[in-house]
Amino acid sequence: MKKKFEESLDELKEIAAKLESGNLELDEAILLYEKGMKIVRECEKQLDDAETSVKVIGLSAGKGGDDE
Amino acid sequence: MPELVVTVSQLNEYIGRKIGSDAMLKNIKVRGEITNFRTSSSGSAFFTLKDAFSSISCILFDYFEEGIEDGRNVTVEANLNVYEREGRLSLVVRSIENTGLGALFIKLEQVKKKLNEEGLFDVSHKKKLPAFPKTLGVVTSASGAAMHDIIQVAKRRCPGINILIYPARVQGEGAPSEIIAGIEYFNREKNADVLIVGRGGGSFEDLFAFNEEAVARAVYASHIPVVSAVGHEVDYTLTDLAADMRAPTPSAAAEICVPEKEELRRMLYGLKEKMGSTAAAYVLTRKSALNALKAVIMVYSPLNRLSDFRNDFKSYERLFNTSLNALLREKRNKLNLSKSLLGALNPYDTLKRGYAIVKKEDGHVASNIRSINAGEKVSIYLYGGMADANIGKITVNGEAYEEKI
Repeated sequence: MKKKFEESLDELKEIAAKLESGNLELDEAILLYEKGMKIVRECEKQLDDAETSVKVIGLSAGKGGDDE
Repeated sequence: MPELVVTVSQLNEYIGRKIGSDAMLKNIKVRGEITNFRTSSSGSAFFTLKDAFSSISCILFDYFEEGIEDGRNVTVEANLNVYEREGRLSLVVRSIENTGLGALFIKLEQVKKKLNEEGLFDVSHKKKLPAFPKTLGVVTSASGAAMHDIIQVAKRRCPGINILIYPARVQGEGAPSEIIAGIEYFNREKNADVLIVGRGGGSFEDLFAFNEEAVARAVYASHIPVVSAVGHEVDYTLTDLAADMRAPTPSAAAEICVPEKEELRRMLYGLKEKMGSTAAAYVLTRKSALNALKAVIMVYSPLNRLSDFRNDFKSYERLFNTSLNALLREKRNKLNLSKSLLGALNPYDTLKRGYAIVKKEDGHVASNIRSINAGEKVSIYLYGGMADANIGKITVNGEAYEEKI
């Protein structure tokens, strides 16, 4: 199951903060960076999806014709 | 009886005449609650008078009364007029008497108070809207401008978003139950990340559905965050108060729900840069620390000692070479000296100076007078050659040698 975008953003913020703290082992930092970049790519992929779909739920089609 | 067919104009004119001739309708007092009150720049006021079941349009020329507003209970003195072009009835008000707040208005205030006490409007219950909803659920009329506005704004801000419309009547009988059904549908299907519930602007009555207690409760109960978009001016509806966020118009609701993709991109890029630079800093600081350590270690490297040895060796080698050469030179000098000394001692050299060497027949040099005997054959070496000779008389320091034997 794909992660929600905001979860990914939160995770990225956390990773950036951890990296910024500067008190990691080098291999930890590199692993963390690679993990972060993977999330970034996933997020970018989500943003690149540009096919908008508009669907009207058929269940009650025909109703609701009296606005304004 | 033959069928009578009339035109619309004839019908409306007929109704107008009928009503105009009715004495009671010419001067009538009507009691009701004011709603949808508005004034024109010319000083006229328009409003609707209503009770629980019915309503009628009113017009008041030369409006100057105080305290006339929506929710007021009033009694008007008016005559009924037919607007023939549209066959519409309206009361032309001559005077208006304020009798207090209307029953519907009071009822709404009571429900509002009750729901507030129950915590339906509590800020603590408000859900956070998702940062990047993939699907936007909309409960509104399928024919209104609201739906169109929401779709336009959402598409512009975030190409790629999915929009699910649940068409619901938003006014009139059945509207509350259809709105509730929409909210429940999305919660049941879990197919939307955020909901917009609303409609375009309208009068107090038009917004009635959004002031229904059941609708407010459905909004409150929704597990999906709800943004209300009930376009109206003054008071918030119960739906607005129960919603997680309230937008003044459907377009504004779409703006609140749907993030600008470009902004998300920028945010993502910022995080990417931050991670990249901090991760690079890790490598760089360690690299420079490593280089510093490396420099220290290099000082103590055995390789360094080896090259020291090599240098030492070279200097020793040089030293050795120079000493050896000196030694050789010294030896050679000594040799040369010896040679010249030797030259000086060469017995044959003495011949040049007039000396002679006497050798016996066996080749031995007769170095002592006692080594030769009279009559013995000897060779006499002089500079340039030799001569054979016989020894005559021998004298040893003036004495005859032979006598001594």
